[in-house]
Amino acid sequence: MKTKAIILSAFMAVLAIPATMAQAPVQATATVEVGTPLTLTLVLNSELNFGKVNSSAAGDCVISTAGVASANGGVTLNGGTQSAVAFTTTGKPSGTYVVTIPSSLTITRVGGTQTVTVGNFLVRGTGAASDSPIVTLSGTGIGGFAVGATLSLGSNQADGTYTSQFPVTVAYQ
Amino acid sequence: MKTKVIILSAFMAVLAIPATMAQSLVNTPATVTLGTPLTLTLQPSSPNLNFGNLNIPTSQGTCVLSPTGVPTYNNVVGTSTPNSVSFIVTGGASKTIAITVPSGTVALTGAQTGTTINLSDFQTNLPTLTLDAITGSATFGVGATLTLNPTDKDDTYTGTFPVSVAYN
Repeated sequence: MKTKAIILSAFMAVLAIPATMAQAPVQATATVEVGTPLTLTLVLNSELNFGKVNSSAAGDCVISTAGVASANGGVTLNGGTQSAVAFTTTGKPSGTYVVTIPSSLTITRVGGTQTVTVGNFLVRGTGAASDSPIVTLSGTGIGGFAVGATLSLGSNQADGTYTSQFPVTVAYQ
Repeated sequence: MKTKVIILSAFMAVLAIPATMAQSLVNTPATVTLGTPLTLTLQPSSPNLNFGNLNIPTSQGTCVLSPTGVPTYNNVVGTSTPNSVSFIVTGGASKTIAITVPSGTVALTGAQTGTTINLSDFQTNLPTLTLDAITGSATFGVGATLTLNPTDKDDTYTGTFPVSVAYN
């Protein structure tokens, strides 16, 4: 009889152990990706300007990323202001970003319907040795780039002023 | 011979009783509370407290992520959707439990830079909750506040923090 009582006590005590043991804390993971935002600013009064050109036949005018104009085919340069357009960027120190520009765009004559085509956009990062749409920021996260392009003219291009805007976007690589 | 074996088993079981309970075998059954153990696990669908992508601010800012995953940005720009972490707790049906989250700050460490940023003000939507009367389970979420400074580095930061539950 005494033996039986001991067995009962022991059984209940053993059962009780799991219930009174504390549940170990669960380790949860917290994550965040923190980054310096990339900003893009057009340099004040900067524009992609092909200046004045004449066309006796079809041809094109190229503005390099350094802002130097050259003419091909039936196109000749005729003064005016020629310039590449410049942008400044800020972002992650030593970060790399890619510049995206449409492959080409059509520009309409002011006051008319005639069009010319601008394409073959080129990008060169400030201080870079060659043209590339991939630009690296400085160690302090400062950078910039210039954009040049090629203007194509038809054989009987109507006289006038052709102007337009084009989108430029930057994104971290 | 058979009786002898039984006595030996009982003796070993008694050894397992905590020292404070072993004094009187007669009283022991009266003080024991039988219960279903509490278990706490991460909910597979939302196992991380993820603040997403945040921009480094120009002056100190915070992202407060609620236990249900709703962000409030104070001088910080978030560029992706964050989510809070959820837990599943199981135990005795209709039992009330208390949830414990860190009361201080927890540092998150950058994978590349090794620098740290701080999580604080941990909160849960249900500091105490009652387990389901039938299934004995419940879920709850945990959020926290992340503080960013202009001097923080671009990086992916991670860290861990403990969450525990206990019967009330």
